[in-house]
Amino acid sequence: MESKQIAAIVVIVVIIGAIAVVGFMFIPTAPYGAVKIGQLVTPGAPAGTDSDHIVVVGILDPMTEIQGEGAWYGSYLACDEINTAGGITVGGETYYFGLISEDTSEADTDLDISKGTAAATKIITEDNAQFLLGGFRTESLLAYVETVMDEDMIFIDTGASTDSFCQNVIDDYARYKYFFRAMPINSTSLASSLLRYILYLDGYLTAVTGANITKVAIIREALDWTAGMDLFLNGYLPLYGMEVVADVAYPITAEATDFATYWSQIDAAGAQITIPIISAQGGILMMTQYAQAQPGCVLAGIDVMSQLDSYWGETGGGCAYEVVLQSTLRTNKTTKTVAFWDAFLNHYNSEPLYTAVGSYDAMYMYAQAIESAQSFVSDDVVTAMEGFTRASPFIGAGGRVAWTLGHDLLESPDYSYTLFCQWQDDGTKQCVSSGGLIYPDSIVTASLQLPQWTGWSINP
Amino acid sequence: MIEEILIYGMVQGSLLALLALGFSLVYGVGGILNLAHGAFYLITAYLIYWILPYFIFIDNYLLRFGITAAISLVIAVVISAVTYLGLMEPLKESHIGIVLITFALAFFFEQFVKFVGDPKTHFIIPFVPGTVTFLGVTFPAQLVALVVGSLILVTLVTLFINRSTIGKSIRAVSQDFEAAQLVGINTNMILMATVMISALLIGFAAVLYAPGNFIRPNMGWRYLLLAFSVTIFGGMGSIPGSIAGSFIMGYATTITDFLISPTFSVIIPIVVILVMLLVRPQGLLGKKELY
Amino acid sequence: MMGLQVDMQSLIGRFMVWAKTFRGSITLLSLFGLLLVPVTGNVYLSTIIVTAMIYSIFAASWDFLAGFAGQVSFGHAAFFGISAYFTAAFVEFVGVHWIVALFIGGGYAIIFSLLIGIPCLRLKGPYLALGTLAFSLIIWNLFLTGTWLGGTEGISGLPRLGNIFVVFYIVASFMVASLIIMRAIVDSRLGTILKAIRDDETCADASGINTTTYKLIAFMISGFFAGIAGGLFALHLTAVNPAVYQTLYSFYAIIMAAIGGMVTIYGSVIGAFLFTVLSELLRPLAAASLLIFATILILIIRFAEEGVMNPVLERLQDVWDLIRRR
Repeated sequence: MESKQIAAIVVIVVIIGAIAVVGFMFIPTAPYGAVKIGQLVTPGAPAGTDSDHIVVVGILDPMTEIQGEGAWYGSYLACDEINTAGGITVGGETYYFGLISEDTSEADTDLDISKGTAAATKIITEDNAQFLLGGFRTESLLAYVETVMDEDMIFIDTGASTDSFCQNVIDDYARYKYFFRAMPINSTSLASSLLRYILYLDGYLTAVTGANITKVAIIREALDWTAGMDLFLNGYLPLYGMEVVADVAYPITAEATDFATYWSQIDAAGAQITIPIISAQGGILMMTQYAQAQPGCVLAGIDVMSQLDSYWGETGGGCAYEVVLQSTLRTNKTTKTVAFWDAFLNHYNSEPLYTAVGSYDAMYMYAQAIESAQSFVSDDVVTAMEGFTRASPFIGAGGRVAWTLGHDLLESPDYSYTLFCQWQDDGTKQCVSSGGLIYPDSIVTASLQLPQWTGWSINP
Repeated sequence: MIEEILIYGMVQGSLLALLALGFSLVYGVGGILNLAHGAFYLITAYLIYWILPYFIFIDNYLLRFGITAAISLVIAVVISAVTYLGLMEPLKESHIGIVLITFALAFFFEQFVKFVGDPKTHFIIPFVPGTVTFLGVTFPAQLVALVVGSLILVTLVTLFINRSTIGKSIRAVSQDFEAAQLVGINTNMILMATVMISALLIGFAAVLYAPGNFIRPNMGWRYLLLAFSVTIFGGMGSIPGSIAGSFIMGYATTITDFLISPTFSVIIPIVVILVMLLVRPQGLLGKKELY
Repeated sequence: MMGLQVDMQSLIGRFMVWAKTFRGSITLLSLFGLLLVPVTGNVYLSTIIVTAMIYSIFAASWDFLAGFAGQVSFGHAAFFGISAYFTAAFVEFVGVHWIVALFIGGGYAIIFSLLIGIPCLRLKGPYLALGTLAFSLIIWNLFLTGTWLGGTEGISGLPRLGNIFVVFYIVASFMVASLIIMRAIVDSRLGTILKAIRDDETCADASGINTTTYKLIAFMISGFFAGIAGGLFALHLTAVNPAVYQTLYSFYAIIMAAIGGMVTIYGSVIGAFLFTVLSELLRPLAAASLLIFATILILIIRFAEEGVMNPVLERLQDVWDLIRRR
C-alpha cells in the first residue's frame, strides 16, 4: 500500500461520504409510513409520550422487499389508528404503540439464515421490542423463531404458511405457545380450498361449455412446498372423476422460452383446467406466455405474484382470466375489510399485500389482547390471545380469527378463508363465486369470465 | 415432439451463443475470468426498462424500443470500458484478484439496480408481438428475433475477429501475449476492446431476450453461470468451441425439458459439464495447454 | 517422559519468545479482547461475533486449499453444507451428542472432499473453479428438489448448546484450535510440499513428490475444517436448509480470505470479522447498506491486493519499532 493509494482511498471515501450527505439532504420528505429500519416510530402517539408508555412492537421481515414493506405498511396504519383513537389502557394508564423493524433479508434468492437470527437477536436485545410480528420465508423463520421462543416473546406470523410452525405449538406447548399465525391460512387448508374450488369449477365449466371437463394439468415450481400440494391434488382429483394429464414441475430459474414449451406440452395433452402452484416470478412468464399461446384451458390456482396490483401492468394484461387464491380483496369479508382496504389505498396508493392485512390484524390483536389481559407479560397476553375462539372470534380485516389447537387460523366459511379472485379483461381483479363451498356467495363481486379471445374454445 | 425440440433447442442455443462468446473471448485474450459478465446483461436490461418510458412520445413501439436499446447498449459498453480501465486492468496480473474484483463488481451492479430501482420482478413488453407457427409449433415471435439476431451477431463477430485488423490483433494476443506485445500491439487496448465486445454481445442478448422475459436484480448470476458453463464445455478461449458448445447445451437442455422433466433441466447441463471436464478437461475444441 | 518434558519446555520457551514479538503480542491481545466480549453481557454483539468466528474457520479452510495448495475452489459451500446437514441430522434424528455429531459431519465433509477432489485432480484454474462449482450446484439442487433430510425446509429446532455465551466460548475454542492446527500444517513439511505443488506442479512431480496424494490430502484437510465450520453454523442457528449449499457461501469464504489476506490463514479471521461486523453495522441503512457494502468491497479488493491484515500490521509494526527505539 503506497501512500498514494491510501490518499486515493481517503479521497474516494470522502467523495462518497459527501455524496451521501448531499443526497440525504435532498431526499424528499418521507411519505406516509415510509419504512424505517432499527428506528422506533410512534405514529399517532401524542408528542412527548415518555418511553415507558410506548409498547414496542417489532417487525421481523425482509424489509427491503415487498413482503416486509407490506408488513410495515399494514402495522403502521394500524398503529396510527390505535394511537389516534387514544391508545390502550392498562391498569388505568394509557399506553401507545410504537413500531421498530429489523431486516431479516429472508426474501433474498441467496438466503443467509444467519441474518435472520441476528435480526431477531437485535430486535429483542437492542431494540427492546416487547411483541413481535412478521415472518415470510419458512426456512429462515424456522431458524429465528427459535431465538424468539428462547426469550418467551410472542410472535404473530403474518406471512409463512407452512403447517409445521403450528404443529410445534401442539407438540411442545410450553415452548412454542408464543407462536400465532394471523396470515395466511396454512398450506393444508390452501390445498383443500384449491381442490374444492377446482371441483366447483369443473361443474361450472361443464354446465357453461357443454364439454365434458375431466382433464387437468398442474404447473408448479419444483420445490418442496408445491410437491405436497401436487401429491394432494394427484391423490384426490381422480376420486372426483378428473384426470391429471400433465404435471409440469419446473425449476424456479425457468424463463420465457421454457414457459412456451410448458404451454405447448400442456395444450398438447388436452388439458381443460390448468392449476398453477407458483410463488416466484415464474407467474409473470406463465401468464404472458398463456396470453400468447392461448391454450384451450382455463387457469385457476396459486400464483403469489398475481396478488400484486401491479401484476396487470407487469404482464401487459397477459394475466387476464387467471383465477388465483388471494386472502383479501375489497369485499365484505368482515365489517372491517372494506374500510381497511380504502384507508390503505388512500395512504399508500397501492393495494395491500397479504402480509399487510396480516400485520394490520396482528396489531389490533395485540391491542385487544393486552387490554383484556391488563398486562404486558407474554404468558398473560398468550392467555388473552387464546380467548379468540369459535364463540368469540377476533374480527380482523382479513377474516374472523378463531385459533385451532396449534394457534393456527381456523379455516371455514364462517371464520378464515381464502378468496378466489379473477383478473377480468377490463384489468380489475374481482372475487368470483366458489359456489358457496369456500366462502358465502354474498361477498362475490363479479361472475367468472372465460377467455374472450377470438376462436378460443376449451379443449374437447 | 421432434419439431418442438428442434425449435426450442435452436432458441436456447442462440441465446447461449450470445452469452458465451464474449466470456470466452475475454478469457482467451486476457486470461480474465470475468464474473461480472452476467452483470452487463442485467444493466442493459434495466437500462432498457428505465429508459423506455422517456420515449413514450414515439408511437411506434419497435422504433421506441430500438432507440432505447441503442442508448442502453452504448451506456453498457461505456461502463464496461470504464470498469476495465479502473478495476480490471490494474489487477490483471493476479488471477484471484480478477475473480474477486469482477465478483464484487457484479454484486455492486445487482445492489445498484436494487437500490436505484426496486427489488421487484418486472417485465419488458416484447418488441415483436404475437406468435409464429412453424413446423406445427406455435411460439412467441420474439424468439424468432432472438435466433435471427444471434445468428447475425455471431457471424459478424466471427468475421470481425478473422478479418479486421483489430480482430487479428485480438487473435495474436490470445495466441501469445508477450510476442504480440513485442511486435508492437497495444495489448491493453486490445483487452479493453475485447471486454467491450463481450459487453456488447451480452448486451445484445439482453436486448433480444429480456423483452418477453422477466427482469430482476439477481438475474445476472444465472447468465454468468450459463456463459461460464458453455465456455468450459466448448473450451476456454475457443470461439468455434463456444458456438458449438452453445448449441449442444441448448439441445441438451431442451431434450431434458421435453423427454425427461423440466425439474432436471437445471441439473442435466451441469452434469454434462462435469462429465465433460472429467473426460476431456480442455473442452470440446479447447487448446490443450490452457487447462 | 523426560523427552516429553523437554519438548514441553522448549514449546513453552518458543511460545514465550513468540509472545514477546510484535505479532505474538498483537495476536494474544486480540484473543484476550475477543474472549472478553461475552463479559459485556451484550447478546447481540456475541451473536454476531459467533457468526464471524464460524466464518473465520470456513474462510481459513478455503485459504488453506487455495492459498497454500493452489486449488482455487468455487464450491466450498458443498463441504460447509454437507457437514451442516449431517451434524444436524445426527443430532436431530439419531440423538447423538453434538460434539460427536460435529465430528461425524466433519467426516462426511472429508468423504465429499474426496468425491470432489478425485475427479477434479486433473483440473486447474477456471476449470477447477467451475468443476467444484458444478459439484456444489448439483448437491444444492439435489437437496432443493429432493425430499430427504427435510426437503426444502431442511432440519430445524435443534437443541441449543447453551446460552449464547456458552456457545461463544465453544465456537471460540474451535476457532482457535482450527486456526492453530491449520497454521501448524502449513508451516510443517506437508505445507512446504503443498506450496511446492502450488508453485510448480511439474517440478514437484519430477522431484519425486506424489502430487496426487498430497493434493487429495489438502482437499481432505480443507474439507474437514470447512465441515467443522458448517456443523457449528447449523448448531448455532439450530436450523439448516438447502441454502447452505449456495454459491453465496463459497464466495463468502473467498471474499473473507481475500479481504484479510490470502496465504496467511490468520488473515481469514480479520476478513471474516470485518465482513460480518460491517454488514451488521450497515443494517439500519436498509436498501443502501448492501450497495455501500459492495462499494467498500470493491475499494478493498482494488487497493489492497494482499488483503488488509499484513499491510496494516506492518504499518503498526513500524510505529511499534519507533516507540521501542526511543
